[in-house]
Amino acid sequence: MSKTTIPTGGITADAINGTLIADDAINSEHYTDASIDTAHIGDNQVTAAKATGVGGLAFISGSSSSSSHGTITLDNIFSSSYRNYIVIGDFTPATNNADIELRFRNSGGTQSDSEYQQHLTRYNADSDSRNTKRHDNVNSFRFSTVGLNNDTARVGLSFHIVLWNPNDSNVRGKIYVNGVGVDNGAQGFQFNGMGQYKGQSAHTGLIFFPASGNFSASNIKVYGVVDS
Amino acid sequence: MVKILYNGVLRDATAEEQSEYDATQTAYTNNANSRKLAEIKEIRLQKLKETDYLANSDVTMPDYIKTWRQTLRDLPQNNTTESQYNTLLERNTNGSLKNSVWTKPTE
Repeated sequence: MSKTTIPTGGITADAINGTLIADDAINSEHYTDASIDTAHIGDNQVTAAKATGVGGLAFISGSSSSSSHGTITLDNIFSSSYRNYIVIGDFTPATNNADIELRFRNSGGTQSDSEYQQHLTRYNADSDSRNTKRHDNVNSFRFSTVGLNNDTARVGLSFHIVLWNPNDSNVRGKIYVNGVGVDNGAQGFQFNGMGQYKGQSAHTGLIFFPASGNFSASNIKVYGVVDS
Repeated sequence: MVKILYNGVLRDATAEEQSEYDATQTAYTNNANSRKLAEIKEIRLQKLKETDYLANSDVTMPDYIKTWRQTLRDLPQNNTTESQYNTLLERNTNGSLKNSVWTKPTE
């Protein structure tokens, strides 16, 4: 029997229940061959509640510009919704050999007290030598380890940062960063290392800034790590 | 007035943001000498480490290495101006250090 139309009211509530549909009645191929029209899933129909237990990363905020800008501020990105975060992005300073720094922000503004500590290691592509950037009791996270190249085609620095507990005022906010950059001499390098803010504060945001000059381009995305 | 990128929106800095921006730029400029000296000391430490093994009891450190290591140790006292720091930190286009003082002698 084949029907192409069903009259209005032809299927009453709960008429098609589990006992009438075999487990394999809807073959899995229908989920992948586009025969299920995704237009039938409206915006916001798959809510966070329905994704509980799935895990992964939840996009929180982003920022992108290819016009000159002095700082990159991302406020209200950390909250009690997530314990840990990942920030991924890239930027290029407008001035060659500029260092890039990072500070936390909270409801009172930028946290520029001398509570930052770090130890970063860098290896240049043309050398086996290890370079380090180690600081304690400084007023920012000296992010770039070396002055960056200002050619936007080369991209000064591409990085990702893991942040633990930035919004928890009972524990220290910690940072692990790694990335790939091009230094002021156009030499590629990789770097990684730790940082922490030794004061305990409920951080709510971040600010990136070149120690001299501006950014000519930047692109940053922030994700919350979903507990599951 | 500097432009800032605030939560993805490019706009003029507020007076407070401009003040914060100016303060960081000024601090960086004012701190140039100590920052450059720190970088020189860091490079020096790496260079010394590369020949530390020659101080082991089962090898003999050549005199030309001893002389070079002493030259490296004396760099801060023999170089005290920003101009001298710049000369020590100058790099070739490939990113390598230009000043010959950083090159380990061969004989």
